[in-house]
Amino acid sequence: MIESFIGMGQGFLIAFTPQNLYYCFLGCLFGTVVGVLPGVGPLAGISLLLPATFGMPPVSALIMLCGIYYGAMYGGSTTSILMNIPGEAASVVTCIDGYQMARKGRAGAALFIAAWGSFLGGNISVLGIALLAPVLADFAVKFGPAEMFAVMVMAMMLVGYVGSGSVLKTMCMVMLGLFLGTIGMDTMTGYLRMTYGIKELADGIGFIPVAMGLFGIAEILSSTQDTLVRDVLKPKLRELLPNRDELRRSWGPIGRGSVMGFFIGLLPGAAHIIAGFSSYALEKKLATHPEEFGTGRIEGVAGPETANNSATGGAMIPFLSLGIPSGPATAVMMVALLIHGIKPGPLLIQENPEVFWGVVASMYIGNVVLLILNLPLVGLFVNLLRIPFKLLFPIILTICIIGVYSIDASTMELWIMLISGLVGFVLRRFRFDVAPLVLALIIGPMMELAFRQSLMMSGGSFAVFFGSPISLVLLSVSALLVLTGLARPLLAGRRPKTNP
Amino acid sequence: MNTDRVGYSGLFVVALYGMISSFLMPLGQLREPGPGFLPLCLSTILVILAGVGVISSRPSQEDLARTEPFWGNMKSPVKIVVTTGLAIWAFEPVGFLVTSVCFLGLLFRWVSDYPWWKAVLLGVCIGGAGWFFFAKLLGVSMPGGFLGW
Repeated sequence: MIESFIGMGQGFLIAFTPQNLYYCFLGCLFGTVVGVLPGVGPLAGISLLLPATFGMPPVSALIMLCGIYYGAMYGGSTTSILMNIPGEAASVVTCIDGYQMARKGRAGAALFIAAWGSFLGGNISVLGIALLAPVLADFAVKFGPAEMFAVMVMAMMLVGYVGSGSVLKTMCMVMLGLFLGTIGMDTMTGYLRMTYGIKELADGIGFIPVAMGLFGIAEILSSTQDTLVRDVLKPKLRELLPNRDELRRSWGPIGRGSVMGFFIGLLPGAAHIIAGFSSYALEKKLATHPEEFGTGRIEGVAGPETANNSATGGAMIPFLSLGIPSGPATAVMMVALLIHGIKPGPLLIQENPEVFWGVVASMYIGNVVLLILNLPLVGLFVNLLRIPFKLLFPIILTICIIGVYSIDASTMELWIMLISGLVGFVLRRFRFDVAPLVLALIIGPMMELAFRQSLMMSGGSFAVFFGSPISLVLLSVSALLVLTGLARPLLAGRRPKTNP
Repeated sequence: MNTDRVGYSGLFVVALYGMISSFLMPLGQLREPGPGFLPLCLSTILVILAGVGVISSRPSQEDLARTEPFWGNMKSPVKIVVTTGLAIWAFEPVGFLVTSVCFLGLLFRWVSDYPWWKAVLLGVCIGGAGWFFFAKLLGVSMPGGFLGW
């Protein structure tokens, strides 16, 4: 413990040098911008600036790349709240209540709480890195394929609670998402599944074009059905800030989201996405009026936004102390360190303490920078709502096209986005919630890999999923979630409600 | 119309197609599942769930009260889909700058009903600004097309 405090002191001395402060600010600013732009997420942002870090000292390089990473998490909520278009994957769940708040004239409050929650979640997770890194990393590394499969099953079942309507419809969307996730090359045998000779589909259906289509394009298609002359929202300065009741209701979700996000962040995979969805599910479960979720509840913004930022900090633990990147963004950061001749892993703290502690300390500074950057920008972002919709929607469509094309420089991704938009439009008409489909699509390939590895290790015995206490508990909780979800309407003596 | 039943029926057909496609792939064995194993499991579960939905769904209050056509006014969505499809088709051969200017101009005129001069002006300004910001300032890789822009 004392060593951690000494290390943090040294880290602050490194992070507070003018050069590192400059790179921290630059990373946070760039991260916020890429987070706000739909489709251009942290991965694209880090990849774009990676070549620029080659001439920098390794600490400065990693400080800047980390700034982009958590800056994008901050910025990602903005378009989710204002336009129902997730800036990056983790912000998908923020669309559900954040956008409804914006439609009720509470966009400023939602953005303020999102920024504040992100700040607190980020700081708590950095404290966690400094104090608990070695212990927690040991725990996470014990997860084998069966445990990973159980975690992902539980995440899927939690989605049943996230869905704002019938459990049957939500589970259908989960299965459809998982099924779509199997399209592409089978990683274990190289077999091409349902690609129909289209070589771009060999890598599978990309998450970003699907999410942009299901949320962004479908929203535009639905909105233009009625009238293009919408009431232009002109929030007053007072309305930019959350009221006393909204602040009071946010504290609990922020506290729970911080802790939950940090622990989920330790798990490899799409941790920050799972963290957001799980936090939303928890808040909905704890709410006195869960049926109000999806109509613009501040808890639905505060919890997930805090959790996904907290998970960002948690995700740094396996990366820095084990050398295991927890996702594509941390994988690119690992490449940056390897280029500088530094190998992340258990020996990083001993061999390169200035890198480890310098980065950890810079994350505190980065969170303050982001709060200072984002709170004054709330007013600016909310002003986007003043733009008439008939002027705004072609711009959104163009940004969607740019964002999706920039990922792989492939028009196939653009076609997938357009088709997903049409599918999303149809699903909305039939009152299906598309958020579970998106999460399932992300988790699908990882879940399949864990499932097949587990069966191969056990020689085809399903007992492997119940052999370890961790997976047994997780799968039992999952079963309980499904059963209570299905039984709830029966116990209430009514059929499941349909989505609004 | 029973909206839920129609929705579940659509899913049922999709799932059935997925099931047949999965059968055509190597299924492997339990100790070494093949590439078709999980897709088959998932599509089977989806067939069951959608089937339950088809059987159990009842018309909602909204369905019973509906007097207008279910799909509503489709004029603008169709225009947007057609314009976006054309833009995607032209994106690589024509280039980002020209495509985005034409795409925006067409949407502003055809869907947003701005006068011609305004639609063209907005298309040129916003398309040009987008090209400068993304392709030049951020260095995002965008297609140049036959003009090289």
